Amino acid sequence: MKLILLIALASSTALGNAIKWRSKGLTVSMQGNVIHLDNEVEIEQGNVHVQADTARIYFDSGLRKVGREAIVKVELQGQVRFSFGSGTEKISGSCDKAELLPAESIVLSGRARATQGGNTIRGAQIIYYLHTGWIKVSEAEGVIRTEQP
Amino acid sequence: MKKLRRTLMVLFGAALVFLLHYVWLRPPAQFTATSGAELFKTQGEGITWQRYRGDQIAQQVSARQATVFFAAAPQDGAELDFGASPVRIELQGEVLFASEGHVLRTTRATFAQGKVFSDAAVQIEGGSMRLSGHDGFSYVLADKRLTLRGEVEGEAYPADRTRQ
Repeated sequence: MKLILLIALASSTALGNAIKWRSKGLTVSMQGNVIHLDNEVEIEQGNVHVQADTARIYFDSGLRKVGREAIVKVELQGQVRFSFGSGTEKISGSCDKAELLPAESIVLSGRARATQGGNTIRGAQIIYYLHTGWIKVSEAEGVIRTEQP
Repeated sequence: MKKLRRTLMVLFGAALVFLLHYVWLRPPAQFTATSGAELFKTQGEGITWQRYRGDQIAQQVSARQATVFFAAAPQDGAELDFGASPVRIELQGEVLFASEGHVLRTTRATFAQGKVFSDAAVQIEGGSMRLSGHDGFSYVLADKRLTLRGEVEGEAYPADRTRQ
């Protein structure tokens, strides 16, 4: 049975911030609009952190148009580990594939699993909305820790 | 007779040294361009090469020093053929490539076989994007493909930034 779960959380500070990346190799065609990151990739935008084996960063126009190289999408693949937020609201987890749409959301798919405090939720897909801090989990199952009396 | 023999031996020795110099000790096929060399437009103490589109600079390469390697050494006394295609150009010190608004800075780089490459650290800037690599790069001129090796860092802004 397909179950969709929505959880409200603190909104992200990622919006509008620069997207920073680190890796152990990079390839880009200066005529194209995609940067390929090869190894031990880390992506950061505000309080959103994602690590993966590889990533592709998509720009809205070719990189030869200087001053217009705005990122529209980041795709990460392989052993994806993520965290959003900070302090007690921090959510961390893992999945096979992630897609960061900087103006909207992060879509985590393939054995997606998110933990906040002692609560864990698993699903085929977890979507984190950057504007609202809502999380949508499809085909969800999880363990919610109850308050001790 | 003795004097003649000694003179002949000295001449033979000189001829041998002359032959050795041109057959075995021939200077390498290398020409070092310095300030004022005709191949480059010079700027200060360094070397700058520029390509214009209309009256705007479309591309620029500059460095403190460039060494240009040709396929064959120029003959003694002959003028250097600046029209001949160099097989390799080595740039040293404050190397800068600027093209279409992107600027690449490094400390040394080599042009050869349609590529620019280096094992030195590199920084690239253009518009809102910044890239840096610690262990060298290669750039294929034909398809403008840039590869950075080793630890790489970068940043750029998301498309929604202007709407914030």
